[in-house]
Amino acid sequence: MRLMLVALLLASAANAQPAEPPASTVQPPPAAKLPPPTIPAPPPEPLPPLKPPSAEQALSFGAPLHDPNVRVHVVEPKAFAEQGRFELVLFPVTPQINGKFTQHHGTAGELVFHLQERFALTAFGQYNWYAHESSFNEELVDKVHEEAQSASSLLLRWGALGGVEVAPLYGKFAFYDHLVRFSFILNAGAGVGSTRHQLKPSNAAGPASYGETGTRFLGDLGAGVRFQVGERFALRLGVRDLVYTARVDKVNGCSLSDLHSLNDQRLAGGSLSSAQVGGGCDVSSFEGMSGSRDRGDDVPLAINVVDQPSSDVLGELGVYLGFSLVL
Amino acid sequence: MDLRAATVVMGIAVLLGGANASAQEGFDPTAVRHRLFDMQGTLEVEPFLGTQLFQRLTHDQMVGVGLAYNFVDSFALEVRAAYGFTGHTGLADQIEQQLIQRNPGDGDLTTVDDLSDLWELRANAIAGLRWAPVYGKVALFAETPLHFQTYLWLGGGVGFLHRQSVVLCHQVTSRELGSCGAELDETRAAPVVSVALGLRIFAGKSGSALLELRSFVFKDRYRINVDRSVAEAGGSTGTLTGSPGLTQVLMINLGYSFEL
Repeated sequence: MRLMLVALLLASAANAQPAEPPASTVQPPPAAKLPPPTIPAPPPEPLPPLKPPSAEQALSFGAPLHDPNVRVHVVEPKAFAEQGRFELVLFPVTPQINGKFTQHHGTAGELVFHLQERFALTAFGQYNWYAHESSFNEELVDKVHEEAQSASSLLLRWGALGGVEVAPLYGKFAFYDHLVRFSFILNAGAGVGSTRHQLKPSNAAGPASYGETGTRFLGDLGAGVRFQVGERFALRLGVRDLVYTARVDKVNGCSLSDLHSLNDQRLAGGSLSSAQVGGGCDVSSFEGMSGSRDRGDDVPLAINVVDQPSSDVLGELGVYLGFSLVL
Repeated sequence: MDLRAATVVMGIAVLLGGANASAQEGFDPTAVRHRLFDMQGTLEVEPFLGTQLFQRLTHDQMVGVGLAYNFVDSFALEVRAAYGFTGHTGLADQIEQQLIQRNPGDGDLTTVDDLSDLWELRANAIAGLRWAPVYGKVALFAETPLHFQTYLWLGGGVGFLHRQSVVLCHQVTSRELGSCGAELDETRAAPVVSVALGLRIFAGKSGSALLELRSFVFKDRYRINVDRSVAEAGGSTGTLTGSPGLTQVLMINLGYSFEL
């Protein structure tokens, strides 16, 4: 009897609550399939007539109305499209402006492909036709017999880099009555550069002598402005930092032990070519005469360069003023 | 958001902004001629901070203020005064240390010339003419207008200079450590020529940010033929060089101009 009462109670309780359908049962249709409610749109009200522009506003051609900023059009449409075009840039002279122990002056060129209006791919090359130790370093040598570590006074002969160029800002300025449009440019790249070290300065004994110190990884960061001159020409002015790592452990491919072998041979009066050196050592660079000076005299100077291994990260910051042809 | 993340976000925004710049139309040549910010007749007070670029033997951090009156839109007269927190670089200290470690009593570098470009610009007061022929604007992220001027500044005044020699030590405290207790210290006032190239970014009707590259040039002065033994004994030695050349201090300054 009790069991029947319990069963009745359970059965009534089950009827009192709506049964939840199992998961596999029919689900409500997605709301997206419901037809959207139709709300009648209010009838359009007629717009008030525009006020005629004042004389001051009339000066600002094509600008938004009733805004004091009308005098300066915020976004100026570019007059010439650059997307898909090549640009050939020449920087005739690129003086280094941060020379401490070294001084470089060179000539550079760049090929720019404008992938988009504000984004371009670049191929850059520079040759430093002047790459010497600085007058400051020579002053230290002359006056207090001190000089920069070898790695800190490494010279960059040439560099070749690939990179990108971005023009995040563009604008225009007035130089009195002349209007000039320009872009602000940022660039970055990576590549390789050839380095060398000065062994002997130019003096009464002869011209300066150098030892090759190898090809190094070269990075590049820069910023500048580009002035558009018509559709086909542009002027560029900016700064660019050529950054390279410097570690000097070989001169002309000769290690310290190679150089000691060469020096022993030299002091013994023998031919340098008979010295026992590694395969990468360019013995011929120490042979012969440079003017009236024996190149063999560079061997002890090269030993001084690699005797105390040093490393540094150098940056050649230069001013780049050039002109370009848009193809 | 750290700096790198912010840089990435800004870079993406820049690239996306660049995608909008494809419209090619003619432009209004009057757009910049009608300038939003007119400087004529305004008086400016310009506090600024600066630091020396390309330091070799000395470093200089400068704080100062300028007062300028724009008598026409593109020309202004300005007076400036600044104080510099100056000193030797690590390189100068290293040179001095290594030189002291060489004992002149042993015949090692008994007579030396002092180094050039060691004068520190402790303070200066200058006046000059500011010419701002360029007024322009840029579109920042293709939306925000920035109005700017570029200017050239030429003038001069007086500089209050300080110099501490790196070769003339009157009291060696430790030969082994290369330390000196009393270097030759000099001060002097000298005429200074100053040239600057600057950029003014208008922040509103009452102020603008200033970024400038400023060069100070003055005549150098140092001693040659310094007998280190005499100097270390506390005596006077050396003669002033006849051709000292010029010293340049190149600063980058950041300031703000309040229009009165």
